[in-house]
Amino acid sequence: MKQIINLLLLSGLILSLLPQEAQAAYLDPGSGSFLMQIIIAGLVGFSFFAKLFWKNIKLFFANLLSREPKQE
Amino acid sequence: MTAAENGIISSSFRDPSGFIFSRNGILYRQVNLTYQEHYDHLMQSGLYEALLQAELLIPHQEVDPAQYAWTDQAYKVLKVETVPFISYPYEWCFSQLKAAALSTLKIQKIAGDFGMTLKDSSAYNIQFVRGKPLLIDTLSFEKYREGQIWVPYRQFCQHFLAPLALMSQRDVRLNRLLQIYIDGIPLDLASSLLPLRTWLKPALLSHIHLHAKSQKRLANKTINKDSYKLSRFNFAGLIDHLESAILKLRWRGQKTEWGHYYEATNYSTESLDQKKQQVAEFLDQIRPKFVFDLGANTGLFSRLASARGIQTVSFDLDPMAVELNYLENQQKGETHLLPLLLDLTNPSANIGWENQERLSFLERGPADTALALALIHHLAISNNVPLGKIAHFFNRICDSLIIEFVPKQDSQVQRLLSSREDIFSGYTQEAFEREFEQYFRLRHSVKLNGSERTLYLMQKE
Repeated sequence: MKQIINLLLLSGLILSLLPQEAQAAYLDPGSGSFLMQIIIAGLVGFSFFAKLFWKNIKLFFANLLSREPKQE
Repeated sequence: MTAAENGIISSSFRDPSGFIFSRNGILYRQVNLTYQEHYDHLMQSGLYEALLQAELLIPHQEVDPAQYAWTDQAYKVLKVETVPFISYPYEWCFSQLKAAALSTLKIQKIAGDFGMTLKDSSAYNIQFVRGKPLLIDTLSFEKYREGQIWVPYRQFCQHFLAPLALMSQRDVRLNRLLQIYIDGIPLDLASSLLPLRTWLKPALLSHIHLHAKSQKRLANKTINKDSYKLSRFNFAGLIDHLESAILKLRWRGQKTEWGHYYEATNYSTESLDQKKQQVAEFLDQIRPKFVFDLGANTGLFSRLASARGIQTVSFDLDPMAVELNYLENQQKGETHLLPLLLDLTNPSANIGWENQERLSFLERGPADTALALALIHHLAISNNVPLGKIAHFFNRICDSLIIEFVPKQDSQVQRLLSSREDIFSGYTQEAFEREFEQYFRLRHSVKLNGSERTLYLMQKE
């Protein structure tokens, strides 16, 4: 568990240090909201990846099992 | 500015990409030259078609800018489908606000597949059309740039997540805060109102409590936003996280005063059937196109109108009744019915910039016909509104009226009077008819079987 948390924190930290090109938006995202978004997105990125990965694995096996044997 | 007058619509001014204007009663959207790149991408990438297919975006038709442009900044002019009745988030029940939030995120996800993203996520950009929450602002998209953040994150939390969390975790009536805070509920306020247990819910902890702390800590500080980057993957993860946060929020509901009205009423099934039949006959006689059902409860009588293809807005004061009405509406896939929350003793007022951004209930009327069934005693007795003032109100909101008079001897009125002194000597059927005849012609009146009540059809001359 501790390892996972460390990993999540690390991914957040790494992402937050990356540079980015300038942008113009008519809504002000706000400094606090901006930073919070970067941190949360960094943290949830890993679990989102795991979720997608697990979904794909399930889909793969579901397809494998539901595939009917070909008739020669 | 309403659709009836020529000019720019008063709520359409924040986004420099374009605006909505009205000309001869028809609504148009001007797309400014500055938005050309994004508009072209929306139309050419297939996103517009995909969103129409998913019933998430309001359709439009391009018209000739040379003929229809409002200013010389026009790139395109779009003729937009008119929303039958504009409603606001503070008039929605819990499940309506939740559906609007989920639509917004779904739109964001689909936009991502076509290389675009939402640039705003205002709850006011969602309107219920044909029973579905649609995005009505065609200019809400911009091309996605690699590494960018989700610009409307703060707005989404304020407009959707915070009110839904408050309604679900604290009190469903807190949606009314949206009426005070026009750009959504401030997150520090939401955080202080939410119960302590919500600090243990990761989604609410991060998107509301810590988000509010972060806003406070960085309130007067500038950070170098150019040095931060959000990968595509983390961007999608954020949207997915917000979606599961919204999905987890539920309102279990509670027994409210009128939530079980039809079961608890003093009508027998037979009398109720007679009342339904009579209301239906009146509707068939006057054939309205647009109906307000006031004090609609769960919409039993509204459905008589909407089932006839009449656009019907079904208003009630009780959040549970509106919730049940909306759930039934969704379950049956009804396209002509819109359940909304409304307190007739304090209906939605004009709010926002110059008090013209979000329109009052009265300015969004009148309807062709109003239904006021089992309502008048609540206005006259519970709220002390004199009959003359009630008649004046109906004169302002409809051309014809199907109204039930509930006399003092009725058991429901007796119940209202049981805890207070009867100061309503003027509350009689004769006085009722006299006051309403000031504005309407009483076309028909029918005594309802098994009760002391009378159903009227009234029409303006």
